[in-house]
Amino acid sequence: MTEVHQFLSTFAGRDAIGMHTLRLRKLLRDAGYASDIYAVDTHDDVRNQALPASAFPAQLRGRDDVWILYHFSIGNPLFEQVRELDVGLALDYHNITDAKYFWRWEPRAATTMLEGRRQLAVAAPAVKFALADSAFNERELVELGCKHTAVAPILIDFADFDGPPDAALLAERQRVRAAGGSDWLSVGRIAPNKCQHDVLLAFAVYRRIHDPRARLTFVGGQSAGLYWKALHTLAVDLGVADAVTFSDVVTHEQLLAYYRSADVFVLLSEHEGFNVPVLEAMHFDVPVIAYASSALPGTVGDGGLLLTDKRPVVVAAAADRLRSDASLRQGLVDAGRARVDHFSIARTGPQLLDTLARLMKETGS
Amino acid sequence: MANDRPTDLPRDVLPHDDVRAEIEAAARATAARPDFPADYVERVAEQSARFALRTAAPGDIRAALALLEEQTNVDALAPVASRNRGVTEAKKVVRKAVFFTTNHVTEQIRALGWATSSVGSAAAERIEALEARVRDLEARLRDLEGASE
Repeated sequence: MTEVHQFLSTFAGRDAIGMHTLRLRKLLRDAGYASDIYAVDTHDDVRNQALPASAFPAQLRGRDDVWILYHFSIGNPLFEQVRELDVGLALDYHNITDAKYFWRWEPRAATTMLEGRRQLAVAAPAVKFALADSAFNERELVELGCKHTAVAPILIDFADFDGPPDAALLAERQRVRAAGGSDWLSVGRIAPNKCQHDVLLAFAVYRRIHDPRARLTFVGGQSAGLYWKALHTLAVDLGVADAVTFSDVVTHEQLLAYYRSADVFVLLSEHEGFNVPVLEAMHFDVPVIAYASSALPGTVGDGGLLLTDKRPVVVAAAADRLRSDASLRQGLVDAGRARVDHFSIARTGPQLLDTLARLMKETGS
Repeated sequence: MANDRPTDLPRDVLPHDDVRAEIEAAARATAARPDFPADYVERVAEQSARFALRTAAPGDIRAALALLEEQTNVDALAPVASRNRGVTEAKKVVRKAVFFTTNHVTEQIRALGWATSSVGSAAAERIEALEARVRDLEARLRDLEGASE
């Protein structure tokens, strides 16, 4: 039996890569492969789903037709260990954030990103093949000399979002909404590359010019402490602190409540290898405004309003247009639903399995 | 690394190009209105500059110095957040227990950072003065060469 095991440095059930890994393991097992997940740092919520990466070499003895799919998103010594194993090695590349965004806010993270890029430059030409979440990611792999690549989006099961939201939070947000004003929502780690400061600046202008009762909610934990503090200071300096909420990390049910009480989803990020929250917003019929950078055009497609200019007055005008133009709003909601269907696991799952099988056959020795 | 600026816009099903153009026109029209809060928008623009990327281009010694000065802001309090139960509390206990040590080291690193930064600042001023002098000498040389021809 062919074995396809997944390796990752950090395995968390609540993040997109962790969920993708779990879903892929199920697909692989259902298709008849032996498949396990190995990690260095496994979070509590998936503690019983993964094996320690250090245990794998001992288990490898006497087995052949073994493949490792290494989820690459940050530099980690685990990759050097995996490279030494006598197996077919492939990458599932989820992108590494450009270190330039982190130097001034979180230099240690920037160093890890640089280390990741160094590892990737060595790995890309050496692995049997590599999968990429997006065409943007695939271009990076090709530029680094990876000979066999394919685009295989992150596996998302939108049925996960059909459960009940946090009732108390939803009720509270609906109570506030009754007073009027639009609700802006931005979901994702609070990180300099995601440029939440641009969302805050645009929101402040929008509130001043178009909608004085508008509110903005950032959902996501912090990944750069100084940046997090600077955003809070910015909200105070712009006089909008009372209208801006930083939720930090939330439960799944709370996330559903935020999506169910939003009027517009705004993402002005400058570096994304893919982006799951924009698709989640589309699933909840929340129109998306996004900056057309990196992998976002390929992810958002025509399901959202892609801006090429993110000056605050322009983003504010876009949000105002969405608020006042019901036809455009409905058009985006409809296009968003089609985009969600495009990325549904019913489509992407079989495509990923077929791609994996083809690449293993073409590159296997 | 692939370009991370606007690129590869998808084929339009909705008239996105038209909508984008209309939005940009609306933004311009708003800015031209007499009630446009120009002072506030100017304040927003000033705040925006605080978040600008600071990557030192080769040869830009002042930008490199600004980066260095920012990195002198060393935090003695290590982050304690963790998704694993109990780890956050354990980290808090450890952090409290060793704070007198980390704070002592942090103060010295900050001092070292500022001392390094002052060296960089002095070097930058010296280099800029020398560059100005070289430019001046080059101009005078050109003048002399012109006079002798």
